[in-house]
Amino acid sequence: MVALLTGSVLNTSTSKYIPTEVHKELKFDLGNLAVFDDSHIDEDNLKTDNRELYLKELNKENVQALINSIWGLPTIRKDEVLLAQLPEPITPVPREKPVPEKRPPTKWERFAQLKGIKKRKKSRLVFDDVTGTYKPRWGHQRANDQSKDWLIELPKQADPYMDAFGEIKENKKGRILKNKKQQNNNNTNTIDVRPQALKKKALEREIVLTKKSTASLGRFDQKLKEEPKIKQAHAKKNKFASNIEPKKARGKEQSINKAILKKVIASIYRPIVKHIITSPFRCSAGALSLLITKVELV
Amino acid sequence: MKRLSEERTKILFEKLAKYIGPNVKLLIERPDGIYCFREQKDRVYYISEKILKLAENVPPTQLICAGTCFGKFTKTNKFRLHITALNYLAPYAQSKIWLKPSAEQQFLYGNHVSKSGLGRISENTEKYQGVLVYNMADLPLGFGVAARSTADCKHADPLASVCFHQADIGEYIRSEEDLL
Repeated sequence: MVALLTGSVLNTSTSKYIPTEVHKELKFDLGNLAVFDDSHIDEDNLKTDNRELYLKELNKENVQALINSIWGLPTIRKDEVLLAQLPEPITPVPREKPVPEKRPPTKWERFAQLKGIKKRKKSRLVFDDVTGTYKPRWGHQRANDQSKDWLIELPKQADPYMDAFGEIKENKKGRILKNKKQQNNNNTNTIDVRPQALKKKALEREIVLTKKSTASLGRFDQKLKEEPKIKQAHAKKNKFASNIEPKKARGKEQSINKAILKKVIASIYRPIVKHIITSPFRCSAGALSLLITKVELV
Repeated sequence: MKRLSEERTKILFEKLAKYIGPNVKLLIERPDGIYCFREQKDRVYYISEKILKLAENVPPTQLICAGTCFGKFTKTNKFRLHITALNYLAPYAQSKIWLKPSAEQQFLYGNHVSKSGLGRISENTEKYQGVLVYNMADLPLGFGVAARSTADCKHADPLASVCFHQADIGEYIRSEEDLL
C-alpha cells in the first residue's frame, strides 16, 4: 500500500476524517473550475489491478485541492446563499453550441439590399425654425412639432369646416397604426426559425406555465426583484348591475342610457349635418327639416 | 330579468333609432314614471319600475313575460324588433307609409309592399330607413324598411317593391308562438 502511494504525502492517522491539506504542484483554472495535474503518473501502478484505487487516490487529492482553492476565493452573499466569485477563465474552450444564425431580413431590408440603399446616419439635433435653436429630432420638446401649432394656414381649395387640428392628430394615429401593422407583418412574414429564437420562445412559454402551475395559480408566490411581470389574458367578465335600481343610485340607469343614446344619434345624424353644411345649395329641404323639426307627436 | 349590457343597449337603441330617430329619448325619459328595458332569455322587455318590482317575485324559470316585449337578440347579437313594440313606436315614427285598402291584406299576410299598393309616403324618407306602415284610416299595421327613398318611389314601376315587410299585426294570429 505504501509502495503504491510514494509519490504523494499520506497521513496514516486513524482519525475519522481524511486530512484536507494537499501539498502538490497543481495548475488551477478556477474560471472553468478546472485543475491540471502535470505530475508523473506511476506506470507500473496502472498495469496492475490496483490501478482503480491508485487513480482514485490521485484524483481525490486533486479535487480536494480544487475545492480548497474555491474556498479561498472572495465570496458574496445573495438571497441567503454564499457564492464564490470565480475569476476569468484562462483556458480557451471551444463553442458549446453552433454559431447563431442571422435574423431573416425584413421586407424593407430585402428591398434596400436589392436597390443598394445604404443607411444614412441622422443627427439627433435639428434646427427648429420657431425658436431658432437646435432641438432633438424626436421625443420631448422636439423641433418643428406640428401638434404645437396654434395656427394652421389652409390652402385655397381646402374645406373651411374641416377640423385641421384634429386631422393632424388622426394622421399621427394613422401613421402609428400603420407602423404597428408593418411590424406585425415583418414578424409573421419572416418567422424567426433560428434555433436560438425558437428555444427562447419555448423557454418563455415554459416559464409562464410553471408560474401558473401552483395551487393558487401563481398569485401568491414570492416574486424575485428582477422578475418581469407577465401579462395574462383574462376571460372577459360580464358585469350586470342590479335589476332594480337602489334608491341611492336613482336615475343612474337613465343617465347611462341617455349617454348611449346620444352617441347613437350622433353617429346617425353626423353625416347628414356634414352633407348639408358642405353643399348648401345642393341639400334637400327635407334634410334641413330633419335637423330643425323637433318631436312630432301624432 | 337582467339589465342590458352597454353593448346590447347600444344595439337596441340603434335599431329603435332607425324607426323613431331621436324620439328614443322619450321612451327612456317619460313624465309618467320610470320605464326601463330589461332582458330575460335574450328577449327585451319594456317595463315600468313598479311592475318590475312585482316581477322580481316570480321565479325566473316560471316568468313568461313582464311588461311589453320589444324584441329579442339573436344568437349573433343582432336585435330583431317584434310587432309587440308597435304601440310604443307608432306615436314617434319618423317616416310613415299609408297603404291602399287593396294592399292591406297582402301586407298583413307578410308580403312586401309594391308601388301599386302604396297610398302615401311621408316625405324625406331615405332608402333603407325604418318605416311604420299604416292603413288609410291611420291605423298602424306594422313595420317595414323603405326599399326606395321618397323621390325614387315616384319613378318606380308599379310592381317594384317599395317597402320590405318586417312585422305586421297579422303575426299575432300567424305566429303566436314566436311572440312568446
